[in-house]
Amino acid sequence: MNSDIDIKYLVVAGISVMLVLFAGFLILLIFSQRKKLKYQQNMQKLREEQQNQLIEAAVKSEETERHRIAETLHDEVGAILSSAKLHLLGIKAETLDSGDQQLHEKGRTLMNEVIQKVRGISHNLHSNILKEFGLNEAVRDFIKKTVNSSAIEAETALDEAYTSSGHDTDISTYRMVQELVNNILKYANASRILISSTLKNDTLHLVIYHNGEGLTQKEFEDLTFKKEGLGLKNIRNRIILLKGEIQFTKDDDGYRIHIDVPVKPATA
Amino acid sequence: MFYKIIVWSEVWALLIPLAIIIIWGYKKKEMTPLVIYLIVALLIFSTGRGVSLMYQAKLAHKLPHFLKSNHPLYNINSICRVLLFGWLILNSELLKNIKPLKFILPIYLLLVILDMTFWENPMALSTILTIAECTLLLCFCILFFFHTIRDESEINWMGKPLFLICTALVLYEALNFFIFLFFHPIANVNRKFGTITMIISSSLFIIFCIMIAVALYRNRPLKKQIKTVP
Repeated sequence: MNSDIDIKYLVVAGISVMLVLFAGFLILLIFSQRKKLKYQQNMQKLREEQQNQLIEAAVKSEETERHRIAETLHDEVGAILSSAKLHLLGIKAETLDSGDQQLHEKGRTLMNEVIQKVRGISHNLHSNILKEFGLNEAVRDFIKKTVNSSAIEAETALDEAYTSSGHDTDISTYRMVQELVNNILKYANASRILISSTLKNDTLHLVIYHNGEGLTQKEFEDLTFKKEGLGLKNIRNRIILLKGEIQFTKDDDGYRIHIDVPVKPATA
Repeated sequence: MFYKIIVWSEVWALLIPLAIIIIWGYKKKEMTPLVIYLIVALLIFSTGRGVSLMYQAKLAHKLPHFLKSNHPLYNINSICRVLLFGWLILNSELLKNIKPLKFILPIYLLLVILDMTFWENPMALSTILTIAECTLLLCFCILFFFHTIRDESEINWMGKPLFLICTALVLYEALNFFIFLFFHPIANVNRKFGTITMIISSSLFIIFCIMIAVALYRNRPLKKQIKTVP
């Protein structure tokens, strides 16, 4: 009878000990996995921070280079061209024969054209309007100068509630609009472009619509990983930097590019 | 009725993971040993239950000699469990490159043959076999768990099907260890205690089968891989 009781106790005690050991081991494993998960999350966060820093540095150096080129064009090339124009105007056209007068007139027209072009490029590269009048005005000015010179019907419908969210956010958004509109002009064969924006819940939602041949989201993703898609890579980098989103959609009436950029809440 | 359901659990509980395989399929390369075990166990336990039914119907004299008792079937089940779960765990990504582990299963099989030939009667339920089964499988699982802790390449080992299978196996073998160790003495203790231990053991087997079913469901082959856009 005693040995029966001993075996009973032994079995019950054995099972209990095993149960405790199993639970302990499982808890140990859970803790170890959590620790590992936390470590990996920290590493991932560090990697993302490092990537953002690199993108920021690249974007800033690109912007600095744009400014340098814009200033050189405006102050040096522009000045030389203006001087050349003055010299050209100094020639007494009435003393020339009719053939030379025609050449003189042609030279003057071309000189005016090249001065305008250099000014245009310089202003595009520089962000003076953006600094002084904000994103909306800069986009309107860009559309007026770039698109309206071609046979494309272009419109803007920008939310006036948005004023500014810091120069870096505005400049990145402006550069993205510039790159995308330039791409539409170059490749899409569109006859109509509409740029609209809405400000909602501290997010600026920009939509670039056109009725040409555009990109789908998949095509955009594919192109950003190809060597030649440099402009699109820049757009992707700026989106990462701004912690925003970009979405390419195709509807019956055309293509739309949706850009969501988080902006700083407006202060009262 | 409850007793009958519990007794028959060694058959019907196996149908849970098998149903998962029939409905969703399984990834062949990784889960083959487990699927073989489930089929073999179903055959063994069904035959075992059939033998018991023949005894209850007093038709045991019609059974062939090797099926006069269901004990040899449980011995075969124990050997199959070690070999197939050993194959499954030792062939996992974490352990397959450890060369000494490759000799364990052949050595085990050799010792089993020697044991059954010279020392024990294969027709009687062998405590040595069941204890060896518990010890070996617990060692394999603990080895696997330690390697998951050390492995830095995978973050979420706990979500992996093999982790769940090893957890189920550790739970089953660890809690059954003392029941297997004292199987013969328990059989001689009063009938009530024997029934309680049988219920505990069968309940553990049901939990084991459910956990394996969950692991198989997690390991089911996905028909369509959806590529997410970053």
